[in-house]
Amino acid sequence: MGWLGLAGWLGPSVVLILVVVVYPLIETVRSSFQSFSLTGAVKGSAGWDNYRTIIENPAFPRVIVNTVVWVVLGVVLTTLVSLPLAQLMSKEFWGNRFLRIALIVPWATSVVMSAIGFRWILNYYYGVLNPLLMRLHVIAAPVDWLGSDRTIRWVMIGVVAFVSLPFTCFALLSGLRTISDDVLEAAAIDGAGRWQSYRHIVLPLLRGPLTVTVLLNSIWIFNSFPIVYVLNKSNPGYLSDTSTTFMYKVAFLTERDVGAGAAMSVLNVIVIGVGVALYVRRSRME
Amino acid sequence: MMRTLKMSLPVAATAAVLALTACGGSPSASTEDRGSPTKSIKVVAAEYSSSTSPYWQQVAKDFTAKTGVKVELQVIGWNDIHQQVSTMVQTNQLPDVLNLDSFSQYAADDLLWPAPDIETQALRDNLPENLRTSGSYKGKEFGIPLVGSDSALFYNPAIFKQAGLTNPPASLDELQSDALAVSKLPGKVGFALSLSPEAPHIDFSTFMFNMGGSYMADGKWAINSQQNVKALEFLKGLTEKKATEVNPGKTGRVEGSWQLFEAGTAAMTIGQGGLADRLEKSGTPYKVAPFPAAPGVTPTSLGVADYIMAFKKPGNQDAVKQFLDLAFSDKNYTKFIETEGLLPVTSGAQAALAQKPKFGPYIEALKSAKFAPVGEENWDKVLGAMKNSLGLAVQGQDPQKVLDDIQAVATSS
Repeated sequence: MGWLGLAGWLGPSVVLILVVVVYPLIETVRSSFQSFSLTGAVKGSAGWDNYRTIIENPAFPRVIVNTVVWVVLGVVLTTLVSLPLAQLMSKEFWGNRFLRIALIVPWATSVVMSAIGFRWILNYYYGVLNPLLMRLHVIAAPVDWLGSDRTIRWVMIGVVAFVSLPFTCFALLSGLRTISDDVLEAAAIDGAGRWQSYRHIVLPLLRGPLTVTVLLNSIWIFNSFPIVYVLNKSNPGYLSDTSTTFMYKVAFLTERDVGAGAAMSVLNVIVIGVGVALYVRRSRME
Repeated sequence: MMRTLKMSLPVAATAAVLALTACGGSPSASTEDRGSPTKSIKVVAAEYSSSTSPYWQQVAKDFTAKTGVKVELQVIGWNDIHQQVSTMVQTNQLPDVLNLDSFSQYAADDLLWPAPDIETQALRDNLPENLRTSGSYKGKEFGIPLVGSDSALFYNPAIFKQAGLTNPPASLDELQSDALAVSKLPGKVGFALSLSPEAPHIDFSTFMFNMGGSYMADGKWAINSQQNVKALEFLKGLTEKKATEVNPGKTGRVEGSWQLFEAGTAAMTIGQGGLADRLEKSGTPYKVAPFPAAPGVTPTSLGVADYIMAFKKPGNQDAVKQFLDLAFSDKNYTKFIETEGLLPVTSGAQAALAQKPKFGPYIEALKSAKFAPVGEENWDKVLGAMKNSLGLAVQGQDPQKVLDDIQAVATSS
């Protein structure tokens, strides 16, 4: 074994990481300091100009606020819905299996497909949501969910939470499974009510899986390009863009500035890097 | 005759020198540059449909039979072709002949033969002027149009009847009042307008051209000209009066305005042959009419073309010329256009297909169509800026400011 064995075990993944992660990362960082022609040919060094261009873009502050709101509310909503759902799933009852399957489906569907599905559900003229809500007298007139600047943000947060639910629920469910019934029984004998035992026994014991899901969801939602892009693609301007779609639009769609797009991308990587570092630290502590 | 004789003398001399160096067995750079006639050419073309490949194969077959030069043919789908051609350019594996929707980036890098150098006189005479000059970069032709398309006013006679209307609008005022009349019907939309980032320039250009506006004036960008601002204000007015669908600034084309028309919701929209095909399938009643123009303006529409270009490679000029001549020959070209359902760019094919109902009105419109300055250096950035902001003009932003900002992008270096 020795060196050869080590290389055999680690080699493939190291090569994969080098090719799929490290090389593109280096190229992106390099691109962020170069200026490009429209065909993508390098015109020369740009110094920090690309970073200046992207930060001085009038839409930049708005995009940053959008991103923060999107990640924070997306994670909070996902967690708040997942906790009771996981609790429900941990109990044995008729239809439990059905619930689990129903929850797996959005996970198995590609995110782009889910987002396109929501595009049609929410369509002003032909979507199914407007007639349904009108019949239920929730709204009096159809709402342009994806076209109105007031509603699209909440719609996007709702969709990303919907897509993040399966992973979060199953992660919390496995956490719940590790809590032994004896502990809960002991609490009941000591006179703890249901809420008390949840608040003081279950939640603290769930801290590990909760932290992990919050961290992973933050990274995932921050990075979640397809939902924002698909739901927001008919809207001109950058009013509802997050940092990942902003990066894409600047590079390839609107300003056609690959250098500035690469600079934005590097900023994104730094943010994700912080998230990943937190996650790694957290896993080490366990 | 004298001229040709004079010309041929230096040519003969060069040939002699070439022969000498060749004998010396030292292939120098200069022999490479002049180039002996090439033995094979690489042709890269975009795939419009399953009948694209047979067309190019036929042209290649005719070409090889005539000249003995082989053809390496690659027909690539639209999703991949831009990226693949970029790779070919970056790795210096240039095609000889390329068919794509843009050419100016390669002209800017001085990679292309000027169009007159690779067109036979017959081909040149066969191309109508508005199409031929649409392939210009900095006033010089580099792209030869291969196929065209243009837009016309589509209207739904059944909805028109419901609203008490009979004829398509003959003026822009009528277009507005007709649209308003239809919008009063429950669940109907007068004019489906598309200004979302998908392709807002098509509808905007159509109104702009027909209100006397243009992208450039005297060779300079004029996007915020008075006429253009008026055109955008007109669209804003249509929207605010609710003559359009709920949010044209956020309505796309293929999934948006066309969808509304196809579903029988909208009474009018700006469409192309692609929409006609969809309507034939869905059975939606429709008629096509020329777009109305403002008083004193010749009715026109926005023409769009895809181009053929040839990369400068030593010794390929003559072969390319012959190849293009065969590609545009009436025999091959007319059949190609007919099966693709795109519009012909040669006078010959236009005349041959003008009587067919599927082509007639569009060919007529193409003859008077105007083109966006797709060859201008900043066009891609202008297009990007239009995609990102034209829609804002119908949802609160001042049209003048929107166009001022696009003009600033156009004139930036």
